[in-house]
Amino acid sequence: MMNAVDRILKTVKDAPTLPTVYTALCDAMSNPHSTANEVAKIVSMDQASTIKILRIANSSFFGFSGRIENIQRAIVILGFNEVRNLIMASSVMTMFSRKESTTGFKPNDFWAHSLSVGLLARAIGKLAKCTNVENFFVAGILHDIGKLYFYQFAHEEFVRAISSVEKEGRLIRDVEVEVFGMDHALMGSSLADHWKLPEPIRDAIHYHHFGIAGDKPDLLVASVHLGDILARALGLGHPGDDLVPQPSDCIWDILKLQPGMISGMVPSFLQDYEEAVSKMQLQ
Amino acid sequence: MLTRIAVENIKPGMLLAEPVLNKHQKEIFPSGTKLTEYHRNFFKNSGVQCVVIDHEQAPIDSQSNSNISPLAAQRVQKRIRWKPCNPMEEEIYQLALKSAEHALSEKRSQ
Repeated sequence: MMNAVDRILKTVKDAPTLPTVYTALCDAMSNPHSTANEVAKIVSMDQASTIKILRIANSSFFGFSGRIENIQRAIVILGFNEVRNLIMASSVMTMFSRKESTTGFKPNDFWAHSLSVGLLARAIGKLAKCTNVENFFVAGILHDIGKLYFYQFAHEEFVRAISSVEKEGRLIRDVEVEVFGMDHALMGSSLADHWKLPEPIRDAIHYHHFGIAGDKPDLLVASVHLGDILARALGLGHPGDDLVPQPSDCIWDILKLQPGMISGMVPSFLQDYEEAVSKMQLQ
Repeated sequence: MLTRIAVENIKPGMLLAEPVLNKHQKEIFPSGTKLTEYHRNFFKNSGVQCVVIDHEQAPIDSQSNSNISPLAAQRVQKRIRWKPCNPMEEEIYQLALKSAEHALSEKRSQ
């Protein structure tokens, strides 16, 4: 007899695929001779993605507020990878469009939490002096995508899980293991495999509760882990439960943050967050 | 009265009279910081041997906790079920308190 984990993972094979624009973009980017104009043409085929990307790219947290007027410029300024990441995030947000709220779980609040983790992960990566933070925002946005998969494709069980979380005051990940036989981090990494997302992003989704990828110290994984905890502490959005877990010990050695850095970064982050929530229409 | 004391002799509630610097001469705790158990452990682990404390100055709540209502503190305690073990975790705790207080005051003003 098939157990709960096998049953859920089997459904992943039939999960929606990322849109053609994303796969075409990945193909073009794997060709070393592709130019920014060729990539821009592919992106421009999808009008909705184009508009979303320009809206996000012109947010103040990318530091180019109001200066990126077309996709060609977005590619030149943000780089191929960041534009591909933004398309991926935008596609996933559109794909999981079940809008109605279940008691204790509101998709808009879920995305507001995910957005805050994306912004915080990027800010933490910069504090940790990471030289390339282009995966941080999208990894933060997608870190809890497994929850949304449960919500959309195993709705009744997920509602039951949320109800237990509320009654018993527990972390959603612990209840998920009881209900689905696995938590949203494992679910999310299976989805990431299905979508062939870049490995660092897949690892950040898989290991965001631990802060370390197995025994491999990783700035991205540690930043998403801390970003998740900080977003919960600040009460931004709602991830499905009310608790703030303690950070894993290992992240302090990985990130090497000094006292004062976290609270020093928060005021500018909150401004970015308010702007991003309004641009993504999550209010 | 200012006194230089060994880190082992720090007692919770004492106030720093001079900032504590790290080995790069960067300030890690400002003067006026109310010391706790975790400060003592942090100093021990960081190689800080002594600190200057003020015996006369009235305790200053360096984290502005005097502005935190009991209801906000209670809400945070319900959500954060662990004790901060280092200054960064203490910062997270303090941010949660401020955020809870802010949310409550917004609710009151509505």
